[in-house]
Amino acid sequence: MTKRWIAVLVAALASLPAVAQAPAGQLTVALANDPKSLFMPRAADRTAGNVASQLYNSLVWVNDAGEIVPELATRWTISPDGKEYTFTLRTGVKFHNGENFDAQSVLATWETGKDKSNDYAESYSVVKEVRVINPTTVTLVLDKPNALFLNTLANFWAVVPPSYIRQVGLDGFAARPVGTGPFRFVSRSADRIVLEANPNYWEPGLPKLQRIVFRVIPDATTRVAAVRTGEIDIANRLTSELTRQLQNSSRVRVISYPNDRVFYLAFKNVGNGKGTPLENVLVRRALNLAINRPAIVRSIFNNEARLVSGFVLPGNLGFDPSIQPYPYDPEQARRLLAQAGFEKGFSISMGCPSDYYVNINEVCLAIQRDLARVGVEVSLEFKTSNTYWSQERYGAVGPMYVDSWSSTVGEALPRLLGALTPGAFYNTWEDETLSRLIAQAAITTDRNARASLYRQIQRRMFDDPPFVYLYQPVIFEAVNVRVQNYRPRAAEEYYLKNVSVR
Amino acid sequence: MFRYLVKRTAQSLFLLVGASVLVFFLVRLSGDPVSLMLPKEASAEQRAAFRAEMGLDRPLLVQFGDYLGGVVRGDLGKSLRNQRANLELILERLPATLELALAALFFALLVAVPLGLVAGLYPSSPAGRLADWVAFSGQTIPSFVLAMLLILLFAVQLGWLPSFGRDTPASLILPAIALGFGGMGQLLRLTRAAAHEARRADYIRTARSKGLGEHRVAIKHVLPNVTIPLLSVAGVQFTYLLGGSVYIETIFAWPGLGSLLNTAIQDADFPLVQAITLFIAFFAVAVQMLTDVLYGLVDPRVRLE
Repeated sequence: MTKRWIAVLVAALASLPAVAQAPAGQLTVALANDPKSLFMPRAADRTAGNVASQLYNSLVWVNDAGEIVPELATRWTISPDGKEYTFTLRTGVKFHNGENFDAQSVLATWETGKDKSNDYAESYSVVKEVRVINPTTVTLVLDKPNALFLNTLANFWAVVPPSYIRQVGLDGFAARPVGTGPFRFVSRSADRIVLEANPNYWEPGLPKLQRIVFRVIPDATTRVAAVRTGEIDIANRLTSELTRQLQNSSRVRVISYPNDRVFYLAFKNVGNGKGTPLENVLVRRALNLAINRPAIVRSIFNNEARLVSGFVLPGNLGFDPSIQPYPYDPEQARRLLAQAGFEKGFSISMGCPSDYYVNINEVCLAIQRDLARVGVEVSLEFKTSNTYWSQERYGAVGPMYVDSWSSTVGEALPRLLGALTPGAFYNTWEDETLSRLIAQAAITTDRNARASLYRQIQRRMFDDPPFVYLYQPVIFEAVNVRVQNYRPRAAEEYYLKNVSVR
Repeated sequence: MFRYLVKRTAQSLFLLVGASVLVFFLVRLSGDPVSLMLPKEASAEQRAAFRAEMGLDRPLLVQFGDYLGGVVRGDLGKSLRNQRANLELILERLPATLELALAALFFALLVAVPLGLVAGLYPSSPAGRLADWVAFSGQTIPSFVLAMLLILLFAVQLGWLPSFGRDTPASLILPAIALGFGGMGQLLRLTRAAAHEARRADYIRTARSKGLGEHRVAIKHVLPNVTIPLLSVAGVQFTYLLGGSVYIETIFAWPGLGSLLNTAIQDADFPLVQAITLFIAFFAVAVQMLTDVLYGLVDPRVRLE
């Protein structure tokens, strides 16, 4: 008798993995806006990228730990000069339409991606040549070594099927996208996008969900209501105020994580920043000391933001914890201003991207008030976002302005390149030492060497600050408790292949 | 009747041209779409290429000429953001907006007409006092506040109705009430005033003296006379509901023209904003003309003016 029971138990256990492997259940995810495009090179908004990334694979992937791991490439070698990447491709992988994945697909991905009309064309045109060696080997040739090339591949190079694209064109492809990813496209209408499990997905046991429905819900209050009723499973882009009403809910759990984004008050030493007191390093240090950032974090963000010491954030490669954020010390600020010859203070104007970010107007007003206390009269220029960012080097606003910059690669390089490289569209501060270090980091492929450069950059940006580093925001999301393994990343991006529902 | 129609058509055309000019220049005052469309890392060359591709680098008057030419040919241009034909996007969204506007109007009339009749005929009855309250709140509570309250009560607390979307017929109820509530107040006051006036009219006294019951008097004699002003106001209401549903559609994630317009404005998607506004203006003018014609049919005095 006992033996028979054991046999039954063994049989039941043996059948378990098979049951667990079949994709099951539906996940409903709210989107804060209608995605721009599901063709990855045109998906220049986070929402679009998050939907699209479920459909595709790239040659490599960044895992949850931030490491580069194989995806459609099983291994790769990099030439000693750092300019040639040779990938060995996975075999037996098929696109959702049945087309085979091979080296030609990589070539087609590059050719369609670098089309000038694409938002992310530059992520493809860093490659100057794609050499198809044989169906399972391909070499990508760069102009110059690129520290983040594998990240660029992982983030932007969604591999596409050449025959299908030839057949339907780019607009047709965007309407019915096809990839090799864990989910395949089912339909898109004005208010929803439906994906379903790719039954032939090459990673065993994945995906775990049978169906994902993305619902466009622009209003954050409605997203909270809908997650409370159980109509949706995941609501993102929420504020801490909104999530407070969910604290006692047994159905919903609130998750929060620091976003890989820095808010800062920038100074210009180009354009209308020339000849201003900002050129004096003592003044810039004084302004760093004069703004009461702990109070901003406490009273405007209910402590739900973090103070930062620079552009390299905790968790970023090369972060140096020994550099502490400037303290709030108005006395010292006054002394430094006097030392710089501004004992009576000065007047200056400051741009503010009106209402574009959470609580940004209040932050700008707090800065104005704090600086007035050390004798710096700030006239605020509130501008709507499209005016604010309309001109090169923030030409639309005065010599100081508030802005933010994010990164999706786990390193500070994108914001360093964007904000501090002379010639970049939004660069307003020229510092030869700094730009030399950044340019060096951009072509340093060795991680340890790059980390050391980041530490030097961080030190320089602290001692001779081009900005006042204000805070790092915290992101809030509400998730139904039935959702398992949902792990959004610091750039608000998520991959759903490992997610399941109870 | 024919001359009346010709005159109204000419007026409408003038109105449409005016609306196009206004919209074209107004949206361009709001800034530069390129900074919102491209990633922050985009270079100056890439920005210039985008501008050229979208025709935004040409003189304003040339762009305007192109736009008007397109409108005349029935081509409303292409969305900057979606890279799709604007008309296609609009037609995809139109049914949802029409459905919501009709449902809101239906809700408004359903409450306003019976309540207004009773309140007009019996001002001091409980119904009369209720009507005062309903009319007042209808015209003072902002629709987006009402929308939030409805969601919290009927979706979150009671769980009776969906909180967003357009999935089942039940999805229509909350947005229709939120959207129709303001108009309901106006229609209610109008009905009540008309009924109140009719109460003292000679033909009502005659009807009563013939021995007709109060219900028959209200339905057979008062109602038809209330219908005429109601018709013209309901027409205006309907066009208002079409254009005014931006908030409500956004709050309820209703996939109509209003939420499309909201996104288009946020993205500075000029061609799409122009196309939607022009389309709504065209629709409003058409509905207005239809109302006028109906009005003319119901009341011969209008035609003669």
